[in-house]
Amino acid sequence: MKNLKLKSARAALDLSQQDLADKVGVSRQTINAIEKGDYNPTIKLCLAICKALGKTLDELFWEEEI
Amino acid sequence: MKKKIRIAMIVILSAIVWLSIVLMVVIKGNEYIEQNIPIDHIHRTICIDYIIPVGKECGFSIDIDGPEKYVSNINISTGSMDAEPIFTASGTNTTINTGKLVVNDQDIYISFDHDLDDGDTIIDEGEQIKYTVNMYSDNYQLIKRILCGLAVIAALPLIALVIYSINKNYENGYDERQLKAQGVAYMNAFFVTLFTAIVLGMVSMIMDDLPLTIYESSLITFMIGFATFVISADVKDAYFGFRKKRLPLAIVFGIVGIISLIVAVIGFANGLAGRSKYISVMVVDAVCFIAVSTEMIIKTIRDKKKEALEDEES
Repeated sequence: MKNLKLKSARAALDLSQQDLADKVGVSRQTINAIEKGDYNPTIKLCLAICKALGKTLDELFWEEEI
Repeated sequence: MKKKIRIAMIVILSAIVWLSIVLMVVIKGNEYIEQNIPIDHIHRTICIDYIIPVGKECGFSIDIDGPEKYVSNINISTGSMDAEPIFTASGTNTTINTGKLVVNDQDIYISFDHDLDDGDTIIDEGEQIKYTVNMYSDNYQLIKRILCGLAVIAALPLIALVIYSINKNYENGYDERQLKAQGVAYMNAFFVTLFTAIVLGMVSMIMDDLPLTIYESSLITFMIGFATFVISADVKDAYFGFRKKRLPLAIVFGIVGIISLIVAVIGFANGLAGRSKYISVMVVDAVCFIAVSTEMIIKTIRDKKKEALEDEES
C-alpha cells in the first residue's frame, strides 16, 4: 500500500526524495520504495523519517482500518 | 579525496585480479609431468601448452624408467608435432637433460617412441615405461619472483585497508533495505555457484575429455557466482562498490571484460582452443565482466531517468 502521508509530508516541506534520503542517511531508492509501499522500514528508520519531517509515527505510518 | 582513494583501490584490485589470471597462465615454470606409457603404444606425444614460450628459453630433464630392453627415442619440436625437432636423444633407464632450448613457436611437443634394442617387434607384455618430465625455465624467474612478491606485499595492506574502510563505513555505506537486498543477492549467488559447481562436476563425469581442470572449473564457478551477486544486488538498488558515480566502475569492469575477450580471441586465432584450457576461463571472465558492466550502465541510465521523473512527480 502506498504511503501517501509520507509523500505529502515530504512535499509540504519542499523536500525531494534525495533530500529526505540524505537527512535520514539512506538511499533515494529506499525512500521511493517506502512511499510506494514496496518496503517496510524498521522502527529505527521510521523514527528518523519522523524526526526529519517533524511528524509523529502515527501521522506518517499509522494505517486507519477501513 | 576518499572517493578518489576508493576508485584507485578498485582499479588496482581489478588490475591485480586480471593480472593474476593472466600471469597464472603465462608464467608457470618448473612443471612436472609424469606419464606411464604402456609399451603397446608405440608412439606417444605430449604437448606442453600451458605456457606461451615464444622467444623464451627453457629446458627439460626427462627421466626414463622402464625395462632395459626398450630404447626410448625422444624428440622435442615446437610449432607442430611434425616440425623439425629442436632436440633428439635416445636412452634406456637414464635421465636426459636437454639443456636450454630456444623456443621460437607456440607450444612445445615432446614425442616418445620406443623399440627393442635387438630390433624385434614390440609385444604387449603389459609392461610400462615411466617418463618423468621436469620443465625448467630460468628466464624471467627473478622478475617473476619479484613481481609475485610485490603483488603479495601490495595486496596485503590494500586488502586490510579495504576491509577497514568497509567496516568503518558499514552503516553509512548501505542502508537497511540495501543490506536486506544484499542478503537476497548472496543467497542467489550461493545457489547459482552451487548449481554451476554441480553442473560442471556432472559434465566432467559424463565427458571424459572435458578440457577443464578442477582449478579452472573452480575459477569459472567463482566468477559466475560473483557476477550473479553483483548483478542481483545492483538490480535491487543494493549497489556494489559505489552508490554514486558508478559509471567509472562499470567502465573498469567493461574494460577488463573486453581485454579478457581479446586475449581469448587471440588464443582462438592462434589455434590454442581445446589445448590451452585457460581460454575457457578467459571467455567466462569476459562474459561475466561484460554482463556486470552492461547491467550497471543500463541501471545507471534508467535510474537517472527514473529519478528525474519521480522528482517531477513529487
